[in-house]
Amino acid sequence: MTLTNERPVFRGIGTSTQSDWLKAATDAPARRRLFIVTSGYEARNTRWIERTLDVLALPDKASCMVVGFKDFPAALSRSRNDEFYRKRGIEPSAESSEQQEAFLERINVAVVTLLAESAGEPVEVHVDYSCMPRLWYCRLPLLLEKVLRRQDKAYFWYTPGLYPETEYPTAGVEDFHVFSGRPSLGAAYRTHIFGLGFDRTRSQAIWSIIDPQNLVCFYADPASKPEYVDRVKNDNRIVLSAANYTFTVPIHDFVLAYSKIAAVASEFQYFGDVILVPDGPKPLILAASLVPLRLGRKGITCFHVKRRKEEDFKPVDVQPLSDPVGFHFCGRRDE
Amino acid sequence: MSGLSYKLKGYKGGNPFQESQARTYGDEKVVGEFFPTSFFWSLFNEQHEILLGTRGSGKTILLKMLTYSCLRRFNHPQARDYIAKKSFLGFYVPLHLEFIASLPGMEASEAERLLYFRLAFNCVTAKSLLTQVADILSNTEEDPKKRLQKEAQIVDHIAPMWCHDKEQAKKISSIRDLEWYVDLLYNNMDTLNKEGLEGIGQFSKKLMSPIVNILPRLTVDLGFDLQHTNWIACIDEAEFLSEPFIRCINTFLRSEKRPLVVKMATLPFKHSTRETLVEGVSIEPGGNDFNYRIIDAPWDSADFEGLCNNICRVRLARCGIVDSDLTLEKFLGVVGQNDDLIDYFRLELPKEATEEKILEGIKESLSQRRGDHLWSLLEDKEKRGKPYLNKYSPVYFMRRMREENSKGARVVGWFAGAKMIRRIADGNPRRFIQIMNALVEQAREGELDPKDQHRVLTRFSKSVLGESEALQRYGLVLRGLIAQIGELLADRVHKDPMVNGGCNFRVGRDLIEDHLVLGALKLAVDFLHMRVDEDSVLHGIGEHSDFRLCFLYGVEYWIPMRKGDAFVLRNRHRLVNLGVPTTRQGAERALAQIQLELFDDTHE
Repeated sequence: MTLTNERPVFRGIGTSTQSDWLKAATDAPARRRLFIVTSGYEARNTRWIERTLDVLALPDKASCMVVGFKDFPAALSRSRNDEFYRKRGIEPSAESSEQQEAFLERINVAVVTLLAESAGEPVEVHVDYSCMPRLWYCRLPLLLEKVLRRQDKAYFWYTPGLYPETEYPTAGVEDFHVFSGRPSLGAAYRTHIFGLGFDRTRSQAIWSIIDPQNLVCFYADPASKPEYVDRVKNDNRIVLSAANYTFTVPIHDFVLAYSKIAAVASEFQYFGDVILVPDGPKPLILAASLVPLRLGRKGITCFHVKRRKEEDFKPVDVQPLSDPVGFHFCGRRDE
Repeated sequence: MSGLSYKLKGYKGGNPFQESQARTYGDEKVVGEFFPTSFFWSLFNEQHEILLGTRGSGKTILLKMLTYSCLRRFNHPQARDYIAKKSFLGFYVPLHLEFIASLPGMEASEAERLLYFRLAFNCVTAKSLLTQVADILSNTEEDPKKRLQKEAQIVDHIAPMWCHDKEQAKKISSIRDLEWYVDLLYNNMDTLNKEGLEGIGQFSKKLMSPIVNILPRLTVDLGFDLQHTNWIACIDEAEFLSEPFIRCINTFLRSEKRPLVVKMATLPFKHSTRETLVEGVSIEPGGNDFNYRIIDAPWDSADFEGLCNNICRVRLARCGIVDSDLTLEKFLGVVGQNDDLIDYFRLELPKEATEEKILEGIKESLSQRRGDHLWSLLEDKEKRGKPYLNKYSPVYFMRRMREENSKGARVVGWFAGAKMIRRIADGNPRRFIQIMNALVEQAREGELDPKDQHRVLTRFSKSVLGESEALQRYGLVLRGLIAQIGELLADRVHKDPMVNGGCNFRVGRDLIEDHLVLGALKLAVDFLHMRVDEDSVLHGIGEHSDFRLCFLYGVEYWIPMRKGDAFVLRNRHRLVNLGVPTTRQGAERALAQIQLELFDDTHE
């Protein structure tokens, strides 16, 4: 499932909340739909699908694919989540969160099957990426845009979570890999655009490694909860004090968040290379990861910094906090 | 006492010390702020050299200054001589993290990864060389017509050697075209498989072979003497290279000599292997294949003093303090005659600052045996108490100053003055700039007398200690180690009887053999939280390695910034080998095992 060199278009991209979408979906004629959700140790795994199925009981035309994580198979809310799906007649599959290719291939097969059954009618693919690893969800928009037809739509949903105070892992040079984009040869000037979250130790470790020349930071504001903004600012005060510029992006509006990050990246590319290092909430990571791909220019790169789940990694049971939010776009394949 | 810092009071402009990274600077700025140390001039030689320096030690600025475009701008007789003779022509090759991390083939075999690495490395090197060649042309040939002819001649020779497609080679007619071609090779790298990579000619075959192959002809085309012209590839940020890539560069160092010479900068413990790609063959330092060079200057060297003064002169001019003879002493002011520890001691405790009183204080603080010995010396008019005074007064001063500072709201002006600041900067230009940044912030708010300086340096040392836990992988453990070592060393100094204490220590075998502790110690040296002797940097850390906390921690823990008697750190219990913790809880569990104690080395 090679997706490199694909420059996404994201035709008809827009932002939605689940409530608005459900309202519109119940008013409109039934569509053929595929729901791609996960079962893991977080309580919020089932929030989006639970609300969806409350309103749109799984009709003949809709199917649900539950990807269960092999990692931590009995931790925290995992049993409850599996039980939730089984009660509705859906058996979670088992995937390793490290296996990007296998996951993408499974999704590809499921979508191709859905399209084959659609007899030319428009279809919708809904992905709840709230609990997915970034290895998975950052590639999915490219895959879906490529596979879906122009009349089809892909939706990406995120349930904001309630994060307890906890400690998160640090990072080392070997954890860095370039997710998207390609740096220039020997760029004389570089700007690092650094997305911040609650992982103070991790942010500082990343900062100490990249040793940025020109540091630009961003974080979610408005965030899932107003107090999260202060928490991010407080946790990252050392990094923020080292930044030459700081900007904020709204967690609830993916399109605006993407646009702001892309605009800042374009602005600083005037001076030299731009390197995005996203962390923090998943919508921000996804938006930043797509920027080099969408802009398609050399000299804009996005790092992903791997989270090592070693012996002392403790899973965190993230509770759902508010109405899931998402974005949608149309496929690009001509029939 | 009064220094020029008062002129900054109320200053509203930008802090000229905010930037502390040479990588941010363009050529003009690099040259404008450069201070030519003796180490810099010693780099002009025909030997491959690996420059080992802590973060912020000035590796980048040294490498950039070796390039033709910076050196020709530098107004110095020796630089002018090198430029006139064209004896050393440097080009700067940065190996940014994103450059290394974006190489394709991470899931491929090592052999395939090396193909991609060679291609990318050769591309960045070739492009860097072309940039310098263009600069050389525009500065050595004034007549535009002749310049174009020379350029055409150069391109005619390079293009067929670099392009595997002969038709494409014919289309290349300028250095810009060549740059475009190199970019094209690099940008299309991930579309090539193993066979494709092998088919693109010399760019993926041997490291730097595209450069080595063109240099003799290029040198002649430029009109230089092939026998006397050396080209220097100044490779920066090699700390991001993994071992297979280091082996690849080592192979080059082993096999190739002038006219292409490599100067490669990395952190002290990041040149992690001397092996080459040929099994059983390693590179030998000491001039055989290459030399290791340690960049970090001693804090009290004339080079570091000159460098600090130069930075002050250039940067403070931006906020209106223009003085061609400006020194750090002039900016801060001088206490007493020599701005020494005794002068600051006298400033705080004038009645106790006589030789007699100090010796009396030292005698009372020492053990009975040593005190009596001191007193017997005092009766001997020849010997007096000078040796004791020299040996113990820094410890005694530190004890008294901490006692005074702990009295209610009293703040002493102890960690202050130009010498103290250079000492705390530990020979590291970036740390010096960061300290100056904090001092300038204070100066524009109010005063910068010794007490204010003391407050600024205390805050600064605390913030650096806090940042240590953020360092990659071992940071959380490192902070715990620094705290334990700092407190143990401080106990030696401040408890009775007084001993000849300092920031130095050795580390027992049980600790060094622990992967976690060794990793944290190396990280501490790389990122300037500890220092270790040169021999240990070059040949590995062992029981006899002389460590010390960076002098900055002398502020945090009130330890004399000097070498005292040697103590050995040991752990109270046998360590159970733990993995590298990745969370605070994990680090705390690991640290719970590390319960250090100090042993007197002389009783070994």
